[in-house]
Amino acid sequence: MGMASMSSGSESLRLCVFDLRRGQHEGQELDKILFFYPPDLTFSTQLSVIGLSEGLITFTRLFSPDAACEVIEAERHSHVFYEAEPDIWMVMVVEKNKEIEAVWRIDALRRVLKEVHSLFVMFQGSIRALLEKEPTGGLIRSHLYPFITDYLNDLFVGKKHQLPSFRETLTERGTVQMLTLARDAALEVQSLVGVLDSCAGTVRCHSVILFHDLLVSTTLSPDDTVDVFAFSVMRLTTNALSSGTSSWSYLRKGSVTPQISSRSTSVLPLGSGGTLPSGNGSSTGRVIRPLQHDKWSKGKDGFLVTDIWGIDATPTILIQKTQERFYLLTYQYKSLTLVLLVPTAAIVNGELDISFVKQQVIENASAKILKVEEKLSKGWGGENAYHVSGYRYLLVDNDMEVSRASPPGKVATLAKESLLALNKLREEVDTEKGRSKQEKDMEICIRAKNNTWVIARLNRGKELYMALEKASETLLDATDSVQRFSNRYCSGAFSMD
Amino acid sequence: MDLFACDSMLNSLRLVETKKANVNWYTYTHETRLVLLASGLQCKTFNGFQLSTAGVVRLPRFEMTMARSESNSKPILSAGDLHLVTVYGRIYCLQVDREAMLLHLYRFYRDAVVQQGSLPIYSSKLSVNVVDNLLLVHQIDAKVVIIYDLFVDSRAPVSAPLPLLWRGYQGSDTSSQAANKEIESSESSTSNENILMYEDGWTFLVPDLILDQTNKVLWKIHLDLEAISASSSDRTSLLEFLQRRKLEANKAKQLCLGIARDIILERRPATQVTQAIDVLVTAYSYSVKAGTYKEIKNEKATASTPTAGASPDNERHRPSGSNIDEDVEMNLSSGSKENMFCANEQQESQLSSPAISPDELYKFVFASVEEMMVEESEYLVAIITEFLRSISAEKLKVDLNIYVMTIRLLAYSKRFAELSLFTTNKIIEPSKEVAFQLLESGRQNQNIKVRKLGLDMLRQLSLHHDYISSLVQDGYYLEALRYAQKHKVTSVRSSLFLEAAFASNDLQHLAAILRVLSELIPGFKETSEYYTFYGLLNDTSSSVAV
Repeated sequence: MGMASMSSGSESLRLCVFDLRRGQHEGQELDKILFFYPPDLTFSTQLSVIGLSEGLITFTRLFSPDAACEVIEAERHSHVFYEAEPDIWMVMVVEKNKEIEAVWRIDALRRVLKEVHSLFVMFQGSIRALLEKEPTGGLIRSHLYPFITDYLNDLFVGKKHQLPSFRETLTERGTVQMLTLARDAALEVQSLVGVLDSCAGTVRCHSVILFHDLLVSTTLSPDDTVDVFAFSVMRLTTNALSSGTSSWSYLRKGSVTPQISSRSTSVLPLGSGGTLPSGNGSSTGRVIRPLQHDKWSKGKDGFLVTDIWGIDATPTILIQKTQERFYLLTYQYKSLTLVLLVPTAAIVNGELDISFVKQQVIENASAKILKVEEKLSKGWGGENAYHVSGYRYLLVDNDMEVSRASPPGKVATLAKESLLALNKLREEVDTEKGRSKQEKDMEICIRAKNNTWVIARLNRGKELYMALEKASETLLDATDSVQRFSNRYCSGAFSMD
Repeated sequence: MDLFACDSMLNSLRLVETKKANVNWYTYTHETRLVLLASGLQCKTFNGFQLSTAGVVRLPRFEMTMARSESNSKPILSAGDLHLVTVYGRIYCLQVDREAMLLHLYRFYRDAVVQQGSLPIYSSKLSVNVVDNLLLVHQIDAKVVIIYDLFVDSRAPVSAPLPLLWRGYQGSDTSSQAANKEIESSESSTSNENILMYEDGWTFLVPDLILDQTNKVLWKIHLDLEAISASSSDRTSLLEFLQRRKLEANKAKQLCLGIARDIILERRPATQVTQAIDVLVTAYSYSVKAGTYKEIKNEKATASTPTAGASPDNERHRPSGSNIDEDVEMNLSSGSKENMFCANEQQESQLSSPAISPDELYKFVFASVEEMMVEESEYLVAIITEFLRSISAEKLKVDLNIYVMTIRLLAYSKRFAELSLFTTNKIIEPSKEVAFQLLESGRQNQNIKVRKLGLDMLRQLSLHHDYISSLVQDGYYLEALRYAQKHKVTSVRSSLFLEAAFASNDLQHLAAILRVLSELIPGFKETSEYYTFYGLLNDTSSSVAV
């Protein structure tokens, strides 16, 4: 099959997950490896990558026990470290290559690792928990393998994985993009949320509502919202369902070609077939692939259905904040997607109770859903709704884990040099932020070689990045522009003189 | 028969017009200014004339329906079987059909007479009264009254059949029993034991009088809204019913408030409560548009404006006699509803509409249940959201304290994500009080994000002084000073900045602040503060140098 040549040939990406607590004795090193991509590399290659990473972690921990190694910049590669869970590390190795636009921002890459891990935990629980459930590691490997592979398939464009490069410097993975609501629309939405909350009787449900690919409302904590939102945009929203149409959201890459879906199905037998050191190979039943492609469709009653979890089986997800499990029900009406989370504790009779909850939603909320959809459609400004002419910006609110940016179509009009300069600036800001745990206020304006002003402003947990290509000559003009933007669109959050 | 339509002018009668018609009998009530002439074999064909200032208006001839009896003998309609009543300004004619045991309703329009349904009757003897636009059908044999509200399309009775009871005018003590009605006449207070309900000697007079020839008294019928609401189970339609009452507007209002409170305390499904709230809000909105609420609004305004800014503590200490609303609050907390109604009796005459303003709903419903519902704050927040949606749909405003309360409730149940959504979407309207509550809730829950929401709100409202003070409190004294410098705010005590900087032991900052303050505040260099801190700066720096 074509896969081997594709992954090791042109592919420069390597991604591994390993557990520092395992395989500490000679001859058992393979035990550490929980996941390795590409899977067809020899164990010795895999071990050399992991061994280097482990060595660096151990070494740097001597000086900085709490925050060990974050990145190694080698001459031709960058190694990005992420400690997903205590002693469980994810390392991504990417090749540096200016010619093919392989210019990254390390934090953006780390956010990819963070995202795939959060999503994994949301569906399968923590890696540590699965390891404790089955200490041979077979269970966790059989889960991680298809999960991460399915996730990576989303990044697959053309013949290689397209990682967030400098072209995506005006986006922030791991944040939520929100729809701005007028007060009356917000009240209608909240009224709907109230109905959804009480759809399972006295036990309170949670809900996340999206319109197109934007968040409308949530009752979850910001962290959990980010995960549910990311998954919804990847697989559930109308745009995700009508796969093939490209989206403006960074969460979905261009079209998913049939070649990839056939590829992803061929991965599983390969993975479980012994390429991995899967211990005794004990099979623990069917492995579920929550991120599998093209598996969701809209049912007759408006609820989305999938057979990923089996015929007529409703998926459950784990909410970080409370460590509770919830059934995930998705109702869709036109561009409105409602993700309803029903506590598993509230469901006694399995699918019977779930169909009762669905019935409740249809009976109690239909009228409100119609009304909300109508209100939102009326106020919907389209994909370019948040474009501000003359500005190319990214606005991040770290408290709420929310971001807003110029639409990608508009960002694409920036010169490559401007983007590279902005990417560099963001890299600097990331480093500066990483130096202390406290929030930092800062303001940086840099003039790029092509006379573009690239600007970063951080103020009390909010960040604003900007590229002004048409700004006139002086620094004063540039800061004035930022000031105007801040007053007009951020209610003065970045006004610091 | 000839009909003479006459006008009385001065002391003379003058023949104005003569109309000729075949008439078996006629009926007239002054209230409706309507004469109905019955003709035909069964006396069921009618000609109607209405006397108005513009002259006599002739109504189209119409026929009443009569069921045939089994013996095929045609029953004849008599004048006693017809009742003319006015409810909600509409004229109705009620016709008793003994064969069918139905009471047919005819509504008179300007140019048409339309039958509008029938009511079942349960007694061969029947009479009709109207009180406060309600149709009371006395089922004389059964000695009960069935009340109908013709405003709604449904012809179902408002409540279960109720007995007619005698009640002394002053006797608020006797009201404990579930009573329906009856108030004595002016004099001759016959002892109540002697009085039998529905005696043969009773003559029912439209609209609401009963002439009792046996006891030589004139009775006036009076509605006991409490009893009616107690015997009705559908809260939403009961609220609608109460909102239409004019005669005892205040009692209706208090009952509505009580019902609203109860359904929330009973934790009825949110959809039910929503409907109830919608009823009250739309009724209020309607009465404001119709102008019936205006007069009391002024009176209310004087009573409630001082509370807007005042803290709940101040509110408690105000002389309770001057403010009826206060009494309600007190009584409620002591749990006695009976007193509450009495306390408001004195206000009764002033109210012309039972409409409840959003502010009153907040005060007497939401604020009063908050303490008891705090454990179920999620439910209460859902109800408040519906309330806000309802008043926003009617373009009304509400006391901003409801937003303060919403923040408290959301913070109590640790729903910070929603708190943030409510704030950014402006469901919680920004105000100084709201901002302070956000700061407070943020402090209590040690949630910096919530505090920031409060700070951002202060900044957006351009409340410079409060914004700067809060920033300094949070330790952001440099940002605060920078902001003060930019907006030329000098009202914040300079020592705040200086002490904060001194406490943080940062001499550079202290020096910078001294410099900025001396530029910002004219004459700052002459103040003792300047000397103190300047001295401190010099001492410390020299000691550091040494």
